[in-house]
Amino acid sequence: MLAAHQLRWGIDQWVAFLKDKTIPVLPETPGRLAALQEHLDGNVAPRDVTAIVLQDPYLALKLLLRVEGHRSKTLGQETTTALGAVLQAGIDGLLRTAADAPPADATRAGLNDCVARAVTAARIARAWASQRSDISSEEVALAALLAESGELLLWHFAPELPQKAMDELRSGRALRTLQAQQQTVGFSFKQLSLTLVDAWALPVLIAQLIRGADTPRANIARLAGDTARHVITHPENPAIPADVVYVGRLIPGASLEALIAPLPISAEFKQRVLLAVARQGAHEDVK
Amino acid sequence: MKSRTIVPLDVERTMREDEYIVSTTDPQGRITSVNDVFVDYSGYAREELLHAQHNIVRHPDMPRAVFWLLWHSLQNGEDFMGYVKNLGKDGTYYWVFAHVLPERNANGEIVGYRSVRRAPKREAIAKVTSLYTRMQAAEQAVAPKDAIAAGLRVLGEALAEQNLSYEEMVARL
Repeated sequence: MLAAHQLRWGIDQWVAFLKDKTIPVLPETPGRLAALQEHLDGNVAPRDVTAIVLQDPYLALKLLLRVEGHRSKTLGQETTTALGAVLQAGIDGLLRTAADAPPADATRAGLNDCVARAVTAARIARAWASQRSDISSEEVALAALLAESGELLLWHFAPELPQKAMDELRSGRALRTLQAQQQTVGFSFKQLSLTLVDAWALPVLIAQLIRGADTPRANIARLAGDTARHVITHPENPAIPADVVYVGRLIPGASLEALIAPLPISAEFKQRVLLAVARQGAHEDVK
Repeated sequence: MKSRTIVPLDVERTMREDEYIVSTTDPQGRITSVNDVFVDYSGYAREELLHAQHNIVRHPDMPRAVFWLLWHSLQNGEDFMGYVKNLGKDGTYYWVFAHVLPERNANGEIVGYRSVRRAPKREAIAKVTSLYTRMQAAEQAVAPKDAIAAGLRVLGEALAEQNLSYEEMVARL
């Protein structure tokens, strides 16, 4: 339970509070890693565990902080992919990181929704970005996974705050997400994420992709986040066809089937989305 | 031609499932590009649409509060989704489900908005018509300077009744 004075904190105080906290992992993550080791008889390859890292934004963040904290700032490249973080940490380092971490409270529906949005966004971002040969799909995926780090940490360490923001929306006292967050805590959770990324001195690219400048990588990461939010809100959200139209402009060489394939929606709705966007006029550029 | 000089008819044009109206505006809402489907449904020539304010197709049945929400969302960098009734040049109307995104430059500054509008589900139109009728009644019952607040209040109460956010309600209609 938050103390009364914490309810009056501004963004700088929350960043100071959160940036050195011990980040949890999802309760199922240690089991997934153990099962993987058992299945592969201990011969676990980095790519195998990377798939598990991309299912747990808390673990991804912990790992990135660990490897970036150990990297020499004058030598060594920044780590901007989940696989890169796994390689830097080593399998044993990753397993220790996960084993030593406290579990996140999976009984909180809001935390689970936030995790689902992050994981879904990363999956969609990776699939979409892989359709372009000029960008790293792994970088876009990691940025999409970490874009809601601020809100993820609040759900674990100060759940009252994102819960209050959600209550503002569902009570009709706020009609927009940013408005709800401003009314509740005085800052946006996205700004909290970006300020934390700066405080942790995470790779500049990650911050750029989360901030959302007009680059193909950042736009794909942002659209993947929006689409994940739409799908989590409702699996047949009427916004989804427009999401496909928007991302089609960023990846002009991709087939509509390839853009729709990674969306976690039913096969029947995928077919309806495909029919809805397949007409030439939907994919044309406007004049 | 501004929408207020057009007499609305009770004649609906229904968008096909596979049609999309795609357009862009500058940050002030002036249309900067349109596609053929927009030209078709609006009834305006391309030259009439370009550089016109997007409210050229605003239908008088639409509550002012919905457009307030749209513009405040976009100006704060958020996307907007909603059901909108539009007025054609010939007085006919057409419903759309609109999804609007801010567009940014390399510095992350908003440089305009892009909209994709498509055919809404018929059952959603019935539900949203009822809500919009109540919102507009509230807006017209007060002084113009208080109208938007009155419309937003009705919308807020509808959300509270359902314990849904605006985005959740729109997605479920």
